[in-house]
Amino acid sequence: MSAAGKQPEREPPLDRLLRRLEVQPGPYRALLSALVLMDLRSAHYARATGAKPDEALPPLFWVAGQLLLVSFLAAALLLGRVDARAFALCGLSIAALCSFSAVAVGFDEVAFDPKDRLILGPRPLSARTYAAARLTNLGAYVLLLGASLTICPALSGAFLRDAGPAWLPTYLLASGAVCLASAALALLALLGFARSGRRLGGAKAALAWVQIALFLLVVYGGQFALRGGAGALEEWAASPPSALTYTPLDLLARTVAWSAWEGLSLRALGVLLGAWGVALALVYVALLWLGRAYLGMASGPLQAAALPRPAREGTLTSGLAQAALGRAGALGLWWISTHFRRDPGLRLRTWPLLSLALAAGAVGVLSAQASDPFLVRDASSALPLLALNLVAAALPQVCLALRSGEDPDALWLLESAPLDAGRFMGGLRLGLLAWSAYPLLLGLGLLYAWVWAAPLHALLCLIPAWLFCELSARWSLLTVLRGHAFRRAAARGEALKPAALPTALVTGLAGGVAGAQFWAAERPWAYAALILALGVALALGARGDRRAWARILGGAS
Amino acid sequence: MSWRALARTPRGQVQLLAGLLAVAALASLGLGALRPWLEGWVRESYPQAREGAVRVADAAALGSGSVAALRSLEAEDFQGVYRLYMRQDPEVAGPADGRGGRDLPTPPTGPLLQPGPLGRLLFAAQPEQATGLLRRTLLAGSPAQRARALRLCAEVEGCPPLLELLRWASERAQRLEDPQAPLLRETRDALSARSPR
Repeated sequence: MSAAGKQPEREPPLDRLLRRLEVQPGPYRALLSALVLMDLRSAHYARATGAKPDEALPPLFWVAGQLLLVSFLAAALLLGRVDARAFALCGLSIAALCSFSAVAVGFDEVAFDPKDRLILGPRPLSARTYAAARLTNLGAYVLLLGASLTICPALSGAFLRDAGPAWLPTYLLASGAVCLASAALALLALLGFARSGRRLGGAKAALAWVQIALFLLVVYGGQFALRGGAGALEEWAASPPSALTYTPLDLLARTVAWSAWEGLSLRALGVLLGAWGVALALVYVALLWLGRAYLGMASGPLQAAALPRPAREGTLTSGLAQAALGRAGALGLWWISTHFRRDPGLRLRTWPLLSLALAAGAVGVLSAQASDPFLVRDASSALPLLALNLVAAALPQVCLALRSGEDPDALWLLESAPLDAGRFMGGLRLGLLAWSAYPLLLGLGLLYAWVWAAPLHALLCLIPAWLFCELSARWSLLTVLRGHAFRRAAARGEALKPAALPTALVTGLAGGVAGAQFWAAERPWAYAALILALGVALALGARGDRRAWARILGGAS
Repeated sequence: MSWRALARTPRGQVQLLAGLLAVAALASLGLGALRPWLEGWVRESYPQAREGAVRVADAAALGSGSVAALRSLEAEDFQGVYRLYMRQDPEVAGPADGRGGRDLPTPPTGPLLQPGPLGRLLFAAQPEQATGLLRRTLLAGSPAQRARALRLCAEVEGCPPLLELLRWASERAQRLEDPQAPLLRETRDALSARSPR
């Protein structure tokens, strides 16, 4: 057969469609593939799910799994206990919350990243091709989220006692509208923030934990509902608060329920179509904003807005701090305070560790087991003392979290600086306590002062707990941190081994100190002796502390 | 290609996600099919009542109970009388007080409370609170618990909140295709017939 007789190769229909839309098919596919890989390996989700870069299952797999698990557990909790309206309301609320948070967290990967300009700028890629690839990727991402959040309630809800054949189609329509609208709202909110040049690190890191928080809520709330036997869940579900009646989610839930009971009516169809209309309008506005942002990348204002602002001068390195702590101490204090201020990941790694003491304090007050130990001599006055001393028990784990930070490479500056190691670590310890233990200690002290109506008694309880905290911080820094803080890249799922023994020991000692306080509360001399003993231990520890840090970090002692 | 190598390609990862969704769909269908089993776990628990409630309940069981005595009770003790009545049927009481919820129900203690007279006293003394207790049992109780609670209405006359509750519960039971819907309807109709128009 001659070459002239050969038929020209037919172009695939998708390519023809893309060309008609003035999109370059080849670069479109390549870019889309890269974007999908970025979705799958999203750094934010890696942080939230603990998935490591070399694992076969990508973080997005765990995210979809978490969404499925949350909606599955919620369905298991509600099935057989509530009617169709409450079931639909819970399912749609979870869908709204999770799709908003998931789009907000994955915004850079799925929607808009100003840094793309640096990578793609020199390449022959039209703005339309870039926008098409980005939007396809975004659509696939939202579809995955929507499917993960809809499958469980839609299918298991079809088995509800009062779910008729119209349940499945109406729930699918309602959930689709909710997921789309929430995703569009998240896009609009994030684009608005990007335009105003605000930093989003903290909000995104917090939103990355929404699924975990929901999971815990469902698990613990479910246990409470199942074990309590008090019927609170069933009562709430049978008559939800009237304020909910005016929310769009409840309107949709009632529409789904009415359709399940009575069959699909014109009114229900109208509500569902209206919901889709609103969702599509939001999507349209979001796409309009996104399109402008993509085009605006050429002129660069968004990129400039996305760059981190220059750090502000530290206010804690003031003359006062220098006078009290010395130059090296003030530097240590400024250094750790800056990390706590700038790095939301550090706050998320450390603050939840204090929850045990907070929970003990809250449970004590809420269950009337927070009596004044100087006046009441029974078990109800032991819990406040334990709560105060448990603050120190979190410090070994907090010190473990201090090993990693966002910018470990900057450590060479400190390593090469002629620092007084002891003073530097003294300032760092003060900053650590000021950003973790002290606010909780102070809060619990004020709470007890208010509950007991005896500020002096609260202060007396606070003093040994504060001394114990100081001791625990010194010891934890030496045994767990044992080197410069923030010396490693922010780790995911770091082994707890280095802090296991110190934590067990400090927790045991916390119980001992609380017990000693309880015993000594009715013997003034013994209470004074306890404070003195803790003070002496602290003074002795301080002397060895400086020498030990000089040995570990080098430099003058 | 090994599954690990496949899983590291975009196509493999998309297949993984699709597989996850398919498994979730199957699990959801399985969960839905388990609804009757899940319903078996819906039940109220009735912790031991306080001394004051036991005293008033004993008097009511011996026929010397009064509306005034029940009216003077605090909310916790009023609930305690209701709980005492519910606990006197071993099938209804369940392992409420058992350690870890595994012990067998305790045998009924004290003189037995008769549902008719006790219901009359309860709904006359504190109609709103008694109706609230019944409502909670109708929503969160097992079938045996609901049936026993409904027996309290046998001799009640009037009491608009109770009638309202029974109307609402009857409609709800019908909508939910609850096997106890006829019992609720009968109780509602009987109360309605006894109530002055």
